[in-house]
Amino acid sequence: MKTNTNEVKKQMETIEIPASLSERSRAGIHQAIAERQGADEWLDAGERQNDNERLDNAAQLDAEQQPGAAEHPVAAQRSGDAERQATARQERQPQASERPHSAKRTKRTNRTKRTRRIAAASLIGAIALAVVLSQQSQVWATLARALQFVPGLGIVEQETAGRYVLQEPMRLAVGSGTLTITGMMSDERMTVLSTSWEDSPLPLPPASITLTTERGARHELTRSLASGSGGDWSSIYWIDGPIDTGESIRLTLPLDPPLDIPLTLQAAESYADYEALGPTQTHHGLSITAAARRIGDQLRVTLLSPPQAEYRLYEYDLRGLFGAGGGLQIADDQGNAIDMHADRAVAAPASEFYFPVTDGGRYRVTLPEVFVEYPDTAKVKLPTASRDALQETVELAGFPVTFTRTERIDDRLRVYMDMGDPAAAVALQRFSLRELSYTAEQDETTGVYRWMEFEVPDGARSIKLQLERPIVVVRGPWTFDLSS
Amino acid sequence: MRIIRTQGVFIIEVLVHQAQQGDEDSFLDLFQRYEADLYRTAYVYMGRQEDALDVVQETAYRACKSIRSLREPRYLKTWLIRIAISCAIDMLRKRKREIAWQPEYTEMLALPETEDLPLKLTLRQLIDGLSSDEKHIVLLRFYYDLTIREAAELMELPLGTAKTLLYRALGKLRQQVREEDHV
Repeated sequence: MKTNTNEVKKQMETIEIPASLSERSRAGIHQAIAERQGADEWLDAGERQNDNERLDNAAQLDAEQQPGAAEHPVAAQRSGDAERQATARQERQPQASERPHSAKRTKRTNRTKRTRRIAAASLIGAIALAVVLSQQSQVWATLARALQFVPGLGIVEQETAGRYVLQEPMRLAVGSGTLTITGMMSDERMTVLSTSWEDSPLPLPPASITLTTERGARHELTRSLASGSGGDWSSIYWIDGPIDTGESIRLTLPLDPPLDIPLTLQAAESYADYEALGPTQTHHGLSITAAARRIGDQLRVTLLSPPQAEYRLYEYDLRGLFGAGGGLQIADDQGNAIDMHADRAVAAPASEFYFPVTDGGRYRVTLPEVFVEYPDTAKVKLPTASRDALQETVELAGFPVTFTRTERIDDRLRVYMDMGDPAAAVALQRFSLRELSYTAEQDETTGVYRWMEFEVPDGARSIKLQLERPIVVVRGPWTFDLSS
Repeated sequence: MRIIRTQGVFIIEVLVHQAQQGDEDSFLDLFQRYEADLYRTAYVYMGRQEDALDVVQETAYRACKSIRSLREPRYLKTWLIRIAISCAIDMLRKRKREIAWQPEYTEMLALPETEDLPLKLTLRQLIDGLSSDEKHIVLLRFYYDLTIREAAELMELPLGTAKTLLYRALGKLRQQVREEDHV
């Protein structure tokens, strides 16, 4: 019998692709996004309230330490916080028990129901997600400013009396996944514990965890700012007020059965500022510190950058996936390249990595570029027909963005942009289009977007674009000399 | 110059990274690169357009929900295929149109060890003549061009079992072609 190994492909190609295929793909994606937003909103509803209260509290406490701030009613504030926290926990409990079941029910709905839900969800999807992300970013930024919490090290400020930290991360097998206690800090003001889950058997990180002191006192820490999806999550647990942790404490995770984890804490060291934590370099006004700590045969490095009011650090691009800089490089004193690894589930921007070291070894870590995001937007109105000589310029994050050409491709419009010198030391690299799904062409060398393409409504002669989330590349390199 | 819609590994990695950070557009871009292949694969399992569309929608849903669990962006395509096939099998099970294939690890079928396909293979033979696992291995090997080892890994089967499965599927197809030739 004659044979032909391409026959399967030939036959498969005879299967016609229905026109509704893309619509159905989008429907599935929107459904997932809508549920993710639901989870975020669920997390945020109680937790962001708590976070804001905590941040207010932390700000109040920070203010308390400032000269001339002694008259702040801190005692009353603490009392009020305790009540609000209790109320917030009570309010969140029903939601916490509802959410997983709600997700299951949705997943099992039939096609018609799902499509209907998507139609509604998709209208608000893009906006809602942006809002959630934006708010989370603000919370993170305020958190960083208020706390300066560095896992394994402590906190960047002058007063450290009575502060204990978990100096080394602890990895545990939980079911088929891995839980890492990435850091813990406890002092008279608050106790914070950060975790990272990989392949977690749980749909979400536990809503709360329990700490038991040596004297038997139990304290419940509620979850704050969980991020991630699937089985990979990072989450932070937090409680205000003093806990008599001492140097030994027991962590209990509410699994089935509960999992007890003994933790050994150590007195935190005192750091007056970021520079005291490790080698620091500044380029174009952006300062980065590499805080390193030896853990067994590895060095754990945390990159830190003082929070800025006008922008936030969006991405260190450790793996070189985001820009064209190639990512973080590590070499020993012989010039041999060393591989690093980083946890998968970490809150953005990923800033922590590990690499193997030997006693007496000296290493150079090079970070070629970082990305920052500005909270700026701009609007522009463009024709939906092809135009060769277009000069529509708007300013975004202080950079001129000139739309030089439009090209109509069926029901889509491609807009060409000039965003200035893409190879400049500080350059606008990309931005998002609010409420639009788009594709883009990226320059291979500089990473800058050259054009963006999106669908345009039938019959529209012009389209208004809202440019948002401008991402700016800041080129160094930042180099840090570290020793084991 | 790099075009986002091309198949460059780098740009796939960038899009996967962005999708894992929650960028819906990047995920949509990624998924739409493969949706036609996924649809055709689903069609072979389901045999009907509307059912195959259901599978694609469910695949998009599941993949978007778990994109952060994808460790190696270069395996995105096989990861999606795996989800799509899993969705198809789940749907078939729900509709009781499928008799689960029982792995016969010790079975040694007297099949010729050749991966050649009959010349006159028809789509209907692919759809109707093979079990889910047989479709699975045939599509992975001949439509997605995976090696038999890669297909075995994706199906989480021992290599020998995957070979047995493939040769049995090919044997069935050859037999069908012979029978139709005689008609």
